[in-house]
Amino acid sequence: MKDLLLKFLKPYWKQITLAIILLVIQAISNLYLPNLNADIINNGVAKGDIDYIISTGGFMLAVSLLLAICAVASAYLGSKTAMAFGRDVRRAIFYKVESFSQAEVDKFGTPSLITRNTNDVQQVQMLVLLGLNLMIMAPIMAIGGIIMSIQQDVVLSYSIIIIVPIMGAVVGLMLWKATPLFRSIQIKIDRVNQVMREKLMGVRVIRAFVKNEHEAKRFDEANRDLTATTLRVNRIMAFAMPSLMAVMNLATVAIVWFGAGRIDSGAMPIGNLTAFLTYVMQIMISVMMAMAMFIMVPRAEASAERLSEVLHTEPSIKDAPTPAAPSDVKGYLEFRNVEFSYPGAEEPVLKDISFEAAPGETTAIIGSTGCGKTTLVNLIPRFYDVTGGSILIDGIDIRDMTQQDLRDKIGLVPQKAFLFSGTVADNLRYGNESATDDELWHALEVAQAKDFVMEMPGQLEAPIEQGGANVSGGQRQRLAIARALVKKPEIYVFDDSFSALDFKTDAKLRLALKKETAGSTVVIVAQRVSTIMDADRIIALDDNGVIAGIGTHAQLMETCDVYRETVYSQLSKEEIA
Amino acid sequence: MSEDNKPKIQPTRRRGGFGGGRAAMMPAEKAKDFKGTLKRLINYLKPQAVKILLVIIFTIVSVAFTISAPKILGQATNELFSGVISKQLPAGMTKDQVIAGLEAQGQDQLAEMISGMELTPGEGVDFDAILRILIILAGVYLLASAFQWLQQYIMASVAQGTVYRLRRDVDKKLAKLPLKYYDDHSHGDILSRVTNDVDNIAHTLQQSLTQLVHATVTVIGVLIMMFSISSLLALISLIVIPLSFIVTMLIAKQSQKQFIAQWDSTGNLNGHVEEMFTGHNIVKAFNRQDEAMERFDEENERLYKASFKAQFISSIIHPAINFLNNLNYVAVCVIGGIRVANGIITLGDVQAFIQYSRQFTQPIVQTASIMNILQSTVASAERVFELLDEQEEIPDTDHSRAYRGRQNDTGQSAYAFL
Repeated sequence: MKDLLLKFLKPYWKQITLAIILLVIQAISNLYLPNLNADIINNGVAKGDIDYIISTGGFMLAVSLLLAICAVASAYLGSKTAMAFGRDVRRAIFYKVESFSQAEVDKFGTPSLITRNTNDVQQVQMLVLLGLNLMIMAPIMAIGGIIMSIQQDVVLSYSIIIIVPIMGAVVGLMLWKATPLFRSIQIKIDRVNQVMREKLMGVRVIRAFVKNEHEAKRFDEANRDLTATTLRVNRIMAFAMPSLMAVMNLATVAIVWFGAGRIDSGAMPIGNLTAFLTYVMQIMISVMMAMAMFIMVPRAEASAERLSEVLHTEPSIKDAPTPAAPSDVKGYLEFRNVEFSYPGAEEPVLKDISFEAAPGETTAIIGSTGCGKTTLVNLIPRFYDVTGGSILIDGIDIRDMTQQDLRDKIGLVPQKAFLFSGTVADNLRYGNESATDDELWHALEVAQAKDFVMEMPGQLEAPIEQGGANVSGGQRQRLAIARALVKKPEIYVFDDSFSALDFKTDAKLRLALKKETAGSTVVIVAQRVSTIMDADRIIALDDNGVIAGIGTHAQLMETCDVYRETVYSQLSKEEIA
Repeated sequence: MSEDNKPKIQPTRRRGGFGGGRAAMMPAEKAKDFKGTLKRLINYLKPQAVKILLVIIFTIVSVAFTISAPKILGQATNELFSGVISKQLPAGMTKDQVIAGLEAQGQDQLAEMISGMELTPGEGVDFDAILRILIILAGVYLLASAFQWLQQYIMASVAQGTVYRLRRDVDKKLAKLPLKYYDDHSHGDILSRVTNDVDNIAHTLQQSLTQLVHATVTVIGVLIMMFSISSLLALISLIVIPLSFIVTMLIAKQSQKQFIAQWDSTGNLNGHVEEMFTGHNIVKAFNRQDEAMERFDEENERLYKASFKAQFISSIIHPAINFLNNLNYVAVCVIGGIRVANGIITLGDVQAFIQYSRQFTQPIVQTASIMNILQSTVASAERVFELLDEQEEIPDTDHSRAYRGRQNDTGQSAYAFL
């Protein structure tokens, strides 16, 4: 955490120094005020000297005005610095993640990266904010309070040595008891969430199999568990405030008792007792604040660690220092003995994949779930780098191109069609900002999306919600296809992009696509044989990520067992012929 | 089955998490029917009526003890003060003789002050009396703490019991809702009612409700005590105290605006982050990192400005109130000092009064923030009740319908996503 704080707070050292100075002034005036109170009572009220009360009172008001001004100024500097710190860290994390390849994103997991960029930054920022205020204030106040109370009366000050440890013990006991329980509450909340989420996802299955009762019981267990733990924590916490109050108040009683003796013997003037009480209160509150801070520190520390982890991760895919010159040919794709294994995996997912594709050709990849089809196409835009062999586009190894140039050549339609918030047009122009409206409509027509976009309120300007939540799965896929078409790339990659379409639309779309993509290379991953039966080249992958056969539908039906099995499981006799 | 599902448009509500940000000055979401929902929530608490009554009684008792403490402490100070004074006076004389003697010397003020005290000249501090007072004081403090503890202990089971029932009822209800409900509402929305909204209610029940009772009783009690000590001083404080209330409200209003802005930009920024990270592949495939970063910088800068302002403005309240409190302190000291000198009230009473006037501002500021929290809680309760009020499925046709309904536009069964 220290590194992170040092690095990101350094630019603000001037503001921080000034804030600290202001805090010290604040602490000193805060400590001085009870002194003035004591003077007013000792020399003014007790002696009946009204002039003294007014003049000292005026001075006291001046001090408290100074205090208020310092407090406002340090709050200004503190909040400004803390928020700027948060902004800078947030930006650094976001920029870093944008430089990551898919391998790094996978390593952390998308939800974790989101949490890191939002909540974790928030946690550390909170600590900085408090740190620039309370954390500096608390020790100054505690030490100053001790000095001042010694000044009031040395003997009575010994009471602090007894009171503070008792106070610390009470707070410490609470923290020690409650902290693990707080953690376990969080786990149990997650559990309730998880059960509920599963129920929502599987509601149809649960009903179809009449599992309602079982599910109700499962939820009730999680609910009971959470309730019981929360109750326990709250009961412990119910003890916290009253016991702290009791300690503070009993300390007051004891001080008054011993103070009375000191006053009677003439060792201490009576006004000092009130001031002393105020100082002891201040010391106790500072100790409490300091201890409360201890709860925040470990949480923020965990967050800071998670942030550093991101910041210290280097993207595994980088541009070559000297990119190769662009070639004259366009739309040629070649896999040369490609092998790929995920980081940390023992077995490669893909082994010895070789094929060539030229413009105007459609290459289909088929195989069972999990055999590596998506992995294979993800290698083309360098989401991952091959671990063996090479991929060439237009005769150049893709690792020798800049990522920008490489990806400009590719139009990807991913398996999970993902749209961004904005308008339909914003989404379509994602790969080609200069596309005209006519081009957009043309792409929509090819993607069989024209009809429903026409019906949307505002048509091209119709709003799309985050993740495309306000259009159906089928519509999302077709918009994602249109988005790739607007880009007019050399190479199209369709990763199982027709799965949410019904037969009729699928057929119409493929027909229209064929014309549209005539000058480009097309790579299609498919589940359904019917989608790719007429491809120029079908690559059948077996379960081990090895090519079981390459050829046209007719060729593979003759030679490839894997392919035949897939076909028989999906199509009727007539369709095969 | 049609190949296009009806577009589902859900308003995006409260996106982006702001972990645990229940700060007092956060903008409150407003309920559509505040009164009706509040009534219903109170009704929901009915099975716990006895416990809640106990909580209220214990709170009143605890506050009563807490409030009487400064007065008792003031007695101890009085006893101490008169002891100190008496020691300086010649022993053997009566109080009246001493006063007469002082007046003869022209020390009118001192004479007046002593006339307001109960003392025997030359006696010194009466430790027995002080010990008696302090033992009572210790007892009062301990009882105040004990009742406060009992009250919070009982409230914990009220809150958790209620919340347990709410969650259970929601779960039972969900099992009876037609599948259409699930199509029309996003999982996130339903989930947020079961968790966030219910948690919000739990938190309010546990803390804010008892705080509200506590604050109200304190304000009334402190007012009574202040007037019983000195109506003049009480009136002076009543000028300063509403002033701090007004200052708080004014600043809070400003900072609330900023908090709304902060809330909005947090939502926007978190939404953008979520979107860009979820669609990382697409951003990369379409070479859009630069635009993503540009947009992030804009949102980030906006968030920075809003949160800085919100934080700063809300942190003005504390120093401002402190200053007003000090103003009040000096005013009370000056007027009180004159009156002590004139023997109208005692030093202990002035000190007790100062303590009371310090206890007065906090519950008022607290009440303002609890009102805000209560609003957002009722809004949460409304959302939960809304779900509990949904039309249920007619029981006997459910299975056949459920089966047919379980197909989507892929033509495959919906198991696929499981």
